[in-house]
Amino acid sequence: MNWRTSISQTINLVRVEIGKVLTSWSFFVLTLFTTGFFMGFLFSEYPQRFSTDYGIIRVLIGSKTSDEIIKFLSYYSMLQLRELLSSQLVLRLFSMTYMGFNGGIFAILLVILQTCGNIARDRAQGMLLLYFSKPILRSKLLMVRFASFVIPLFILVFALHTIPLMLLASYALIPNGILLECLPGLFSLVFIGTLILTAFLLAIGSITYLFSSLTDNPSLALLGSLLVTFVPTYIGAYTTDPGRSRMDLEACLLSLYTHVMKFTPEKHTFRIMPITWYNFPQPGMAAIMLLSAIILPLLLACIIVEIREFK
Amino acid sequence: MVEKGQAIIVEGLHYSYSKVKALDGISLSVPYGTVFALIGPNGAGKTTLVKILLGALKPKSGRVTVLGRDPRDIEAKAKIGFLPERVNLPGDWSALKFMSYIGYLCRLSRREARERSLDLLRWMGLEENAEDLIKSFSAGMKQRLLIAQSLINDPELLIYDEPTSNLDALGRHEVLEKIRELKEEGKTVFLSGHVLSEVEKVSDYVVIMSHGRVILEGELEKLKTRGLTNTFELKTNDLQRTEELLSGLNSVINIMRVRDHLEVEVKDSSQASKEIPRVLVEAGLELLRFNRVKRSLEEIFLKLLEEEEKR
Repeated sequence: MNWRTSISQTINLVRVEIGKVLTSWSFFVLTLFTTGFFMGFLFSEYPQRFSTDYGIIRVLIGSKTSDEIIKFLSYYSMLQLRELLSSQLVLRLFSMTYMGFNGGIFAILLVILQTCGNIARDRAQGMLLLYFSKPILRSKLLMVRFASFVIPLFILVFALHTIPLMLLASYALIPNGILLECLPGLFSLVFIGTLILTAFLLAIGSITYLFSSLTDNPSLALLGSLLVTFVPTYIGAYTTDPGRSRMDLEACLLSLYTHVMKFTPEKHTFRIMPITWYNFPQPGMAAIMLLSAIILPLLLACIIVEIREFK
Repeated sequence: MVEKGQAIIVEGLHYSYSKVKALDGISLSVPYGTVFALIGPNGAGKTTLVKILLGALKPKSGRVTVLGRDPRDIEAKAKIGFLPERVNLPGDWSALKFMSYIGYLCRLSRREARERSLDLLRWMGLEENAEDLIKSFSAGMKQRLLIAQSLINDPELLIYDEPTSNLDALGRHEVLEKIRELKEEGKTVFLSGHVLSEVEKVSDYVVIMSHGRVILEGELEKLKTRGLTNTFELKTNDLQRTEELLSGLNSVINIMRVRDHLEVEVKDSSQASKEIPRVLVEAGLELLRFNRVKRSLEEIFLKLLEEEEKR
């Protein structure tokens, strides 16, 4: 098989798989919930916080040194990442948004529901044997399916996170006349935030995929994934801060990440910022953790399928 | 064993699940352009053999080549069409979408997959249902769709596991007709099943398996001669008189009246086939029917299984 045929095969399969994700009821329903949550956040709590940030902008712009503007942008973007990744955002939103529910839960449920049956259901229905009888590597088919899930998820996160944040940030920057200078930097940093948020959700998806490879029952994969995602988080939250354990349980794996990161040293650059209540993670370590959380379960899932389907 | 001209060669194949032997030294070969039937009761090891031929199971010992290659070889899979026994097709997909997906797995381009799918759906009488959801299909339509998908890559070898299971009489007839047409097109078909009366309608070769072993194999026509018995069925104008006359013959072992005729068991069938008509005609009786009783392949199969169980 030449590389062109292989690429064409991959593209065609990805196209069908994406269609499958986009037309599934769980994607539709949970996207609606997640969108509702983010819209609630953007139009209720976020402008209030943004006006505080705007005050910082004015201070920084008043000094008119480019270093300070860049420092602000770094702070600003990390603030977004930090808040999106931490349970603190969820805690605040939970109490402040009028909708009164945690949108992160829906995004996580979306990921788990989409991935729990990916291998298990096909095996139970006898489709896996049919698919694997075709001229395609087993691991390639599994990877194609996972990749096909990543694309709609990324688009969803991008649409809900990057675009609104950019629009609101631009709204604050236009009156100061520095929009054009700041926009590229701001966009790239917010975009990184999108990637990290997607990566978190993918890590959950990857863990669910691993459970799906272990069983013929999608419900068991769902249950296993929920247990692995929530229980350590709850324990972590309880041991570090018993008072918040209920909320942190809802924040799920994101808060597990926060609790793990509490043990990492603070990044010195941000100590000068008035955000001492935040514990910034080491970006390198965070990246390694995230990638490991995505890649290792995925590889294990491929190995398990190989062992189970080719005994 | 002559390898040239053999689509499948299996030699001394062993496979076991834990301590249970599924295949116990199976050897068989399938010539190109023939319909080869593998018959056996549930648990005989048929599906295990099919899975090995598809590269889904690894034999513990023995040799298997499919189209001159290792069954795990992707290029061998590219020339095989498979119809699984138990499968739950994706109900929320249209027949055309499912066919196209299988086409992509078989490395067809978008255009090729669509055109080939429509051709095959037309051939299977499903053209008008191409855009219908699979969940609206009857069992017979689903089976025809499965046959269609097995042909999407224009394979040289077709491996059909229980292709008529769960079908009504009409559905079975339709499927067998299609297999007959494929045979006429020169395809090699490997059929696995447990209803001999059905597969004998289309097969050239038959292998009967039980407890992981081959208990009978050969060309269908030759196997049918094994069904000849030492019993004659005869009808005359006076059954009472006939019975009296035949009971006096030394070659006759047993006479039984069955509805409007007699069944006469003899020691030597070739001698009796001449002696009985002579005696009856000399006695002035009119011989209305005189046939040698033949057991069907199904009866041979059941008798062999019975003997196998007694061992």
